[in-house]
Amino acid sequence: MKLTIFNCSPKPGKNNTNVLLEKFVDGFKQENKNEAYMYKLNQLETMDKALEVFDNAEAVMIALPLYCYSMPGGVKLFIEALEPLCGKCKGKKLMFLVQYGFREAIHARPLEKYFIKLSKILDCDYVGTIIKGGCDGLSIGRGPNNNDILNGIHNIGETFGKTFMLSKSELDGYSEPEVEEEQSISIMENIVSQANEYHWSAMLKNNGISIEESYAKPYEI
Amino acid sequence: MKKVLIVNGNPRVESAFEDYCDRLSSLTSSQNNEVREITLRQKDIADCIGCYSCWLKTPGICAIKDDQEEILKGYVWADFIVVASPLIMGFVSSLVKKSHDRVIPLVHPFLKIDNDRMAHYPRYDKKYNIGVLLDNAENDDIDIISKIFGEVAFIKTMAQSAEEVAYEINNF
Repeated sequence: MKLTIFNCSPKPGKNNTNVLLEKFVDGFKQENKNEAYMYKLNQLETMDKALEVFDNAEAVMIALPLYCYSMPGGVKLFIEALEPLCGKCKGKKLMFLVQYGFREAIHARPLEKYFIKLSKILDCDYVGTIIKGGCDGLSIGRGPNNNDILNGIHNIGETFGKTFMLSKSELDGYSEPEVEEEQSISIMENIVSQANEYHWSAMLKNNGISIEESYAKPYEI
Repeated sequence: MKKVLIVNGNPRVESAFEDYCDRLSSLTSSQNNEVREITLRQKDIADCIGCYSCWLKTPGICAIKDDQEEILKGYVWADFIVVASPLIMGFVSSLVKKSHDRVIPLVHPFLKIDNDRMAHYPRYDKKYNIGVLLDNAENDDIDIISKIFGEVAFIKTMAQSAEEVAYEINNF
C-alpha cells in the first residue's frame, strides 16, 4: 500500500507529531511492499497543492497535535480546501493521528467524532483515529513513558501495514487511560504537582521568571 | 448593562449569516449593552506555533504581535462572548479556529486534576461565558462543537430569531 501522510504540526522545528510518525512508518514498512510519503502541511506551497496531494493518494493519514480540544487552525484551513472533493473520495482510506500533553484519551474524543463525520462528508473509508496523550516530552527525549509510547505506535503501524486496518482494541489500549480512575486521582495529583515543580517551574526559572511573575495578568482591567 | 464581545468568524461578506450577525449586534446594543465587535476576516491573525512563550517567557502575552491581542483583551473585558461562524465542512471556520488556538495566554502552564482529567490553572479569575452562533447545524454538529468548546452558555443557529438570541444574551 502507498500511504500519504500529512504532518500537520504547526511547529517550525522539531515536533512530537513527527517523532510518532517516524515510528509509525517504521512499523508500517515492516512489510516490504508498503510505501509511505510524508508531507509537512505548512511546508507545502499552497492549499491547492495539499488538495492535489490528498486527491491523488490511495490512503491518507492526517496527523496533528490537539490544539484547544480540536485541530490547529491551519488544519481546518486544509480541510476547507478539500471542499471540492466532498462526496468524491470513494475508496480512499482516511485515518488520523492526534497527540497532545494531557494524559487522558477523553480530551480528543469529540475531535474523533468530527473526523468520522468529515470522512462521511468526503465519502472516504474511515480507518480510525489514533489518540495518544502524554506526548509533550517526545521531541526533547524527556518523558517517563516515551519508550512505551514509541513502541506502541510502531506496533500500530505494523498492524496497519499488514491488514490496512487499525485494530480498535489496539487503539483503545494505546490511548489509555480514557479518564483518571477514582483510585488513581491522588497519584495523578501528586504527579502533576511534581510536573509543575520540576518541569514547568524549572523552565520558568531558566528564563528568569519567578512563580509570582508567571501568574501575570497583563490585560486585567 | 453587559459588556458583550462578538467575534465574527464569517469568511463571507455577502451572506444571510452576515446580515443576521449585524442584526444581533444592533439588537444587543439597543438593549443598552456595550458591544465590541471583532470581524476576524478583517484582522491579521497568524497560526499558533506552540512556542509556549506566553507561558514561559512573557507570561500572558503572545510572542506573535498581531491583531489577536484585541481578542485576548476582549475576552478579559467581556461579560459575554459570542463566537459567530458558519458551519464549514461540519465545523466552525478556520478563522475562528486560528483565533481560538491563540487563547492559551489566558491559562497558566501549571497542571491540575479537574475531576477525572488534567487541566490548566486559569490566569484570570473569571468565567468566560461563551455562546456559539452558527448559521445552520444538525444535532451531531452541535454535539461535537459543544463538546469541543467545553461549557458553553449556548449554541444557537439561525433557526432561532436574532431577537430570541439577543434576549438570551441580555438575560444571561
